[in-house]
Parts: sequence; structure tokens; C-alpha cells
Amino acid sequence: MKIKEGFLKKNVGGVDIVVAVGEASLNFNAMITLNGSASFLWSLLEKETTPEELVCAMIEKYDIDEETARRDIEAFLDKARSAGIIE
Amino acid sequence: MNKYKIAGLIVEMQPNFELLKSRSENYLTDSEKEPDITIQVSDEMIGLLKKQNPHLTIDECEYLLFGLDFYQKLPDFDAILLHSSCVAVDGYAYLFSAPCGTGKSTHTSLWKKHFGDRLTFINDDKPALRIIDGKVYACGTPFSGKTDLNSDVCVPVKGICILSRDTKNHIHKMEAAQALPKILNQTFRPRNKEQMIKVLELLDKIFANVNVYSLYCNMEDDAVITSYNGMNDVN
Repeated sequence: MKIKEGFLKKNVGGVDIVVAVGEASLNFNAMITLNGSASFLWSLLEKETTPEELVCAMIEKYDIDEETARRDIEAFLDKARSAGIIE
Repeated sequence: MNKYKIAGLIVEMQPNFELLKSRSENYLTDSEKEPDITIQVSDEMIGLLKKQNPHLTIDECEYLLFGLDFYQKLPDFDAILLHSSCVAVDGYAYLFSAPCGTGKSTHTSLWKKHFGDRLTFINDDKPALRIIDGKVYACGTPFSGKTDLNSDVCVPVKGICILSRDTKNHIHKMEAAQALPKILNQTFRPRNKEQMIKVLELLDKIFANVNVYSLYCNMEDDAVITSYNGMNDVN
């Protein structure tokens, strides 16, 4: 599981945003704003990874319990999948 | 080819039709410098655009395509297009951006009425924002949309407003997260990744140096006072 080719994450004005470039921009013309944890998950998903690895990384980084981490990650992945960003 | 000085850059181009010829005349230069930008638009491209848009004149097709080529090349020179009506008052530039038909030009025409000779139109539709030595300047270009309201100057920017219509006038400073999507929608978004990175880096510098406001306004003189005072931090 990873972010599809053609999505570019960048910090602009103190905000982490994502825009599409290349072929991906033909279907995706919007802009995504990422909060801190979403930005962290995004950088992990720039390389092939698994939900389990994401859970471990979230727990370590934010010192939260497993249940909260799973819930946050599922919510993020749901949004990302419905926007067609993850393959 | 003719040489022009636009937004402080030497631009080489050869307009064939009257509209662009006359509108770009003020920007002609006899500079000996090598051109920064060479506008390359073939006759075929102009012909094709005309065929796809029969309501446009051939003059308008040339004007649009030369403008597009110019704005696409700007990020290489630390500059971007911001679709907005841009005026200068007392040496500072004020930009009003919004989707088509919102009333950008209407608002700046109210400014003209209010400020008279103190005001210059930098570009009524497509000014260039250029970063020079870390400072943000609004620059006139000959590509100003339907009107010929533009002047050959680069002026430091005081503020950028995202304009909406309302019955009452009010103005609020915007956070970058709110302002960014609005600004991104009113600039040229490159497909190419490296160019897109440049555009985003330029926007980052613009946000660091210039305040962006959301302006709600009607068509009365009070709208001018609200937006001018708001961008000058006067209550």
C-alpha cells in the first residue's frame, strides 16, 4: 500500500498541502490540507508500507494507545482511498 | 523579433496582430540584453484556438496564447500569475482576487473613483507577482484581459484580498490554510512536477511576506475604505 505516483506534498505558509502533478493532475485538481498526524502518515505512505507498520509508527511518534492509532489511521485511509490517492 | 521589458524581464516576441501589438507597445525596449523569455507560439496553435473558439477574433487568440506562454514561463524567474485586479496607491500595490464575475474590476473601479490620480492600474486581470531580493512586487503586463488597464511598473505589495460580495463591508486576515486553495485556484498550476514545486515555493515566500485577507464588500465608497484600511491595519 502506498501513495500513487503524481502527488506532491509541500509545506506552504506553515501548512502541509498536497497537490497533483503530471497525469494525476488530469483527474485531481483540488488541494489537500494535512494536519500533523496526516502529514506524518503521508510521508510513511510515500514508500510501500502496511497498516500494521503505520499503527506501530503512530504509537511510537504520538505516544497514543493502539485503539486510537487504528481509528485515526482507518479514518485517514478511508479518505485517501475515496479520493483515489492510494494504490 | 521585438524586445519588451515586462515585469522587469526582457521578453522577446513578435506579435502579428493589432490587439497585442498596440497593447504591448508601451513595453517595447531597445535593451541590448539577451532575452530572459522568448514567447514561442506557432501560427498553427493560434489557428487551432480560433477554430475551437469561433467567437474569438484572431487577434484575441494571439493575445491569449502569447499571454499563456508568458505566464507559464514566469516561475523560472521567481514570479507567478495571480488572476486579480491590481492597483497601486501611494507606491503600494493592492490585489483583489476572486473567481470570474465576482466583481474584482468593479471594486477597483470604486478605488479609482475614491483615490483619483493617486491610483494607477497595474493590471486589471492578470498581474505578475514577482519576488525580488525577498520582497514581493506586483508587476504590470500587457496581458490584462478584456480591458487595457495596465502599466509598465513593479510596485511592492501591501496586501492581497480574496473578494466576495456582501451587503455589508468587512475584512478579515486569512490563515494560510484558508487562503492557499483560493490563491492556487487563481494562478497557473503547472502539470510538470519541478515547475509545481517552484510555484509552491514562491507561494510560501509570498505568504511569509504579504497578508492575505477575505474581503466582503458591496458597491459603495465605504467598501473602498474598508478594504484600504483593512490592508493598512487601520481600524
